[in-house]
Amino acid sequence: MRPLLICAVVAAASAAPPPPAACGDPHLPKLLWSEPRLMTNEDWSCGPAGCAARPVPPFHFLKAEQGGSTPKMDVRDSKGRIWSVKFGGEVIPECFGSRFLTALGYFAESTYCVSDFKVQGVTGLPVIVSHQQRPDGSFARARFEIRGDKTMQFLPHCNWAWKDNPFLGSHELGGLKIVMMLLSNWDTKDAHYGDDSNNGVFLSNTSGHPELLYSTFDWGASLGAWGGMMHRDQSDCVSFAADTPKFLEDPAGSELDWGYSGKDTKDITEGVDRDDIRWLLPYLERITPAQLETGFIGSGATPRQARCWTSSLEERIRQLQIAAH
Amino acid sequence: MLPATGPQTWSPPAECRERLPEDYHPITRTERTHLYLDSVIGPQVFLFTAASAGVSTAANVPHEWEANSRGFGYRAGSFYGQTLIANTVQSGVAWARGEDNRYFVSGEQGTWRRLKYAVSSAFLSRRDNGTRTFSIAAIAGPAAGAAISRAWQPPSNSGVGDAALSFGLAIAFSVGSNVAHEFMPGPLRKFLP
Repeated sequence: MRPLLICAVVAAASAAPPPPAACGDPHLPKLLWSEPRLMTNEDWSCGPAGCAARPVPPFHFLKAEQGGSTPKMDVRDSKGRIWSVKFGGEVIPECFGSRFLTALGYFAESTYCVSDFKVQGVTGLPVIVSHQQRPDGSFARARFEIRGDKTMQFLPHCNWAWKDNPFLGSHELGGLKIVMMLLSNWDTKDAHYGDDSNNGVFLSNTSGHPELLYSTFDWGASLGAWGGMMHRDQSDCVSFAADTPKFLEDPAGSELDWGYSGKDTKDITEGVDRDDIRWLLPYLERITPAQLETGFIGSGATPRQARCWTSSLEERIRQLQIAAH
Repeated sequence: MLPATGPQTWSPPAECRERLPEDYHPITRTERTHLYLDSVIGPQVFLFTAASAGVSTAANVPHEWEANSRGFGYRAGSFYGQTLIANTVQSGVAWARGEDNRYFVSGEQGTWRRLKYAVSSAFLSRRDNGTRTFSIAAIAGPAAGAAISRAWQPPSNSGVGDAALSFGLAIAFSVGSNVAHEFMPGPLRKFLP
């Protein structure tokens, strides 16, 4: 029985599709970061791809995603583009995360927050999705992410690890870890989690030649409390604010003592030094509080929530400024 | 951005002090699991179990268990068992029906409006679409706890009337907890069940 079982496991493992060839191509440039352009108020409000590219109703139902803890469906908009629509507590964090990352020069898929919309032809929704629908058939709020993005082509099975990647020791990697902590993103799954990894690689041709863009792409588990299984949450400005005084325990101290805790805390807190903070700060400092608030409201937050998150983020950045001195 | 200044003096602004209905987002399976575990093994459960057992021991109700340390133990076990059943049934029904019984402070102005919201919230739950409807789970849980716990009660406390009284007390406790959440200063709320 045991040899049969081993054979079955080996067969199953070998049946998994291999990563795309581009994934390991040593000739392709690998980027974690690029010099960011200044984001306009429109970018903060609608998203980095601009208001012109946002999803346009009417939306037509294509399919619902079965399984998973977050309700999702695919729709086609009036321009014929297909969007992945996600509901629930990850809407604000994902939409704001894409704006914040782009403003700092990191790569993020373009996402939009759409409120008060209807979807035509909805049938056979799984319970988890149908519960999102109001009695009049409309949906309150969702994150729309375009499928088949030509500018950032997702490479399946092409994951990277926090401690094993081409950018070890760089300010860009240290800066990304600081951003993880700034937004309290506790979902640190990397290549060690296989295809559950949130660290992926995208193929891009926007600069005229193919490049591999390394990205942390799922920011749904952020903007809440960090911590262990029983403590952490997402999209909760009250608990985000409560963690803020502990963001850097003693910013002026000799050691950097991060309050952050996530699925694999050391993957994020280790390998970050004051030079990384000094490298990231100029990009953080050019984001105004008004832009942050605009970004939060554009991501689906209420004005009160936007003020709460913005105030906390300003304080976290202030702690970074003290640590950088 | 703000210039770097002195040591940490920041405290959360007023907007960040309490969760309001606008902070609602559909509860995830993980959050449901956390809530359930907190409701059956969280510190507040043991605190209130001990307090309830202390009061009923002092009053010697039910009298068969006597007003001594052994009687306190019986009563504490009984209260905890009833809570375990009630919260397990409530969580299970809420999960099956997509009900969310978390309490969010009203954010309303005026004592009467806040009181009305707090009391009504004991009988209402939010659905994933944000609407509030009558909560079957909020009734089924306390009812199951009150009914099933009759099985181990002594004769003076095992009748249908006793179960009804126990159910009424559980609902009153739920209403009182909501009112306390609504009106208590934020830092003290963490001691509430």
